[in-house]
Amino acid sequence: MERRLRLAEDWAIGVLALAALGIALYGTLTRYMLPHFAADWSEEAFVYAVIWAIWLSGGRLVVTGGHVRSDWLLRVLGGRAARALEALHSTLGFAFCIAFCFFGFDVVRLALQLNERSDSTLHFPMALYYLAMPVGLLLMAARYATHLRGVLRGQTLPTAPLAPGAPVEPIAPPDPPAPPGAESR
Amino acid sequence: MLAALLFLLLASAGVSIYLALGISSALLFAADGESLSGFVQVIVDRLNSQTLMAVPFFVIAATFMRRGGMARTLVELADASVGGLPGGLALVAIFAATLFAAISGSSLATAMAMGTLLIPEMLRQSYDRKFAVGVVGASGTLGILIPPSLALIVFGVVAEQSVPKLFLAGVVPGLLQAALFALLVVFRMRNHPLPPRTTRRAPLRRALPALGLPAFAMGGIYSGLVTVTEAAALLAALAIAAGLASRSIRPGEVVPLLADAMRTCAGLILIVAFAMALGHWITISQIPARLVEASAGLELSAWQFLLLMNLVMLLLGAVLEVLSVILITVPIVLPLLPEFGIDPIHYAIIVVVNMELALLTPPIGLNLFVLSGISKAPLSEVIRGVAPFSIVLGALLLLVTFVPLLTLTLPKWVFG
Repeated sequence: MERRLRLAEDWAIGVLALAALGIALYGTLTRYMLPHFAADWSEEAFVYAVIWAIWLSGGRLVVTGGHVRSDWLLRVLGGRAARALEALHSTLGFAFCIAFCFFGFDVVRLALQLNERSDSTLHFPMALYYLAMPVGLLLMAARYATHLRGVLRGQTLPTAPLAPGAPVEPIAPPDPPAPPGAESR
Repeated sequence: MLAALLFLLLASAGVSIYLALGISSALLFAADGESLSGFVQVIVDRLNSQTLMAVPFFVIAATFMRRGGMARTLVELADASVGGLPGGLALVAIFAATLFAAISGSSLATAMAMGTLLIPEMLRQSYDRKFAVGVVGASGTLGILIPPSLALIVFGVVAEQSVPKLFLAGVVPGLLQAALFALLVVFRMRNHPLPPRTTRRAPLRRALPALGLPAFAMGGIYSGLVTVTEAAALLAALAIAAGLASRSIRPGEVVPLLADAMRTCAGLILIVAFAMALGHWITISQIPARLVEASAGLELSAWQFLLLMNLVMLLLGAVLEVLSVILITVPIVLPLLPEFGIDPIHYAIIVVVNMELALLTPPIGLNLFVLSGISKAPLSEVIRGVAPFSIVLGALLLLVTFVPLLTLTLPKWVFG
């Protein structure tokens, strides 16, 4: 099940990123080369695609410990104390994601009620863009729940947190070992 | 105040930064009687930013360029250029990191790429391990100063400043940093026997794509033909095409690599998202206005204010990661800058150099962990290795802080 979910996520995220890139290129190139075909919606469209890809990525980051965090206290404490902290972290993450999933759907509902649409000729339904956040949070909540269950059952603690810039799960790894720390850049 | 303490407590207890920011800022919203649906609305609205999208595109470009072997060609070029000087491979690390910074925009990615390629060779050539990890770790920090810098893009989005101007402002301090590091290396390695040259033939031709693609993107930005985001998208597309053309990337790998790059970004953008909500709360709660009033009462001069901010950022940088420091402090400090006659572009570079130091400062300096992981050296050894470079970086910080010409000349020359 987890494997299928990962594969589906990979493809959804990759295809969205590819679409975003394609739209951005289309917008840029047509503006100069084929102004007749230039679209006023290209900028907003690639933003929507990227944001969907970003929110869909959040769940996997929970599993791989890829959300940026400082794990020095976990390493200093070790053993049961570290496990207790990890359980607290997962519980907080689960509760937060579920709560804001609810508020996120509320924003989607309101946008649907108001039939909120973008200003471009695309008239993109904004509810579809807003939906990315609650869906992403729902995926993250599911992963926090799985992770919490693993921690409580005494399974291995998550992999070391990685930072943006570091490949989370190297597909073809000439990359170095994962750094046991946290940062952003 | 309580929210700030809660954030620090959660962050230091190992809670993900996005989550610590989210919980703290949501509590602030709730305490002010604001709706939490409004909190979500702020996040989705702020994320709907074309400029911010430059970050994923640059990360895609860096992912494909690294996977396509361009980091290695840059190392070969650096080796052919400076590899014969005293401390050759250490100079190669600095030179190659400077070049790779123009691709990656990330200090971590630069340190990882250079460390993986160079540290094993440096150890093989009997370089002192402490020195080897020190020079690579410190050079890696150039990733957020030399354009394109992801940190500067985020600063530009938060502070509503021109990203091309910010990029230009980072060039001179970045090159100066590389030069200062090179001087330190030459001085330290003056008695080290010359290493054998590993690369001699046609490295420039092989390195042309790695040098040409970022130059093409930057050319597009500064000629005014494309925006930063469009340039990043073009760079990403060209990096994919170059990888496919050189057959170092198979067509079937494109989508998984794109997904990998997006996940790398997601860790960063989610922090930005929740920090933007915090920034929104800071603005509507009139904290900056009150700080402006308070600072007027303190009668600080500009240099005293900058020194104070440097100290604050050094302290925050020791316990928080780079983006959090930028995202939390900039909305508060930005309204104060006109009071002291400080240009936000100048301030941006001061922030970034501070963050470079933060990357080398325990307990949260991630470059230390990266280098420790790559070299298998204990963290304490890595910390001792980067210490001389941190001192040089500290000197650069003072220079950048008190000589605004270093940062502002190039943007003023280009943009008037």
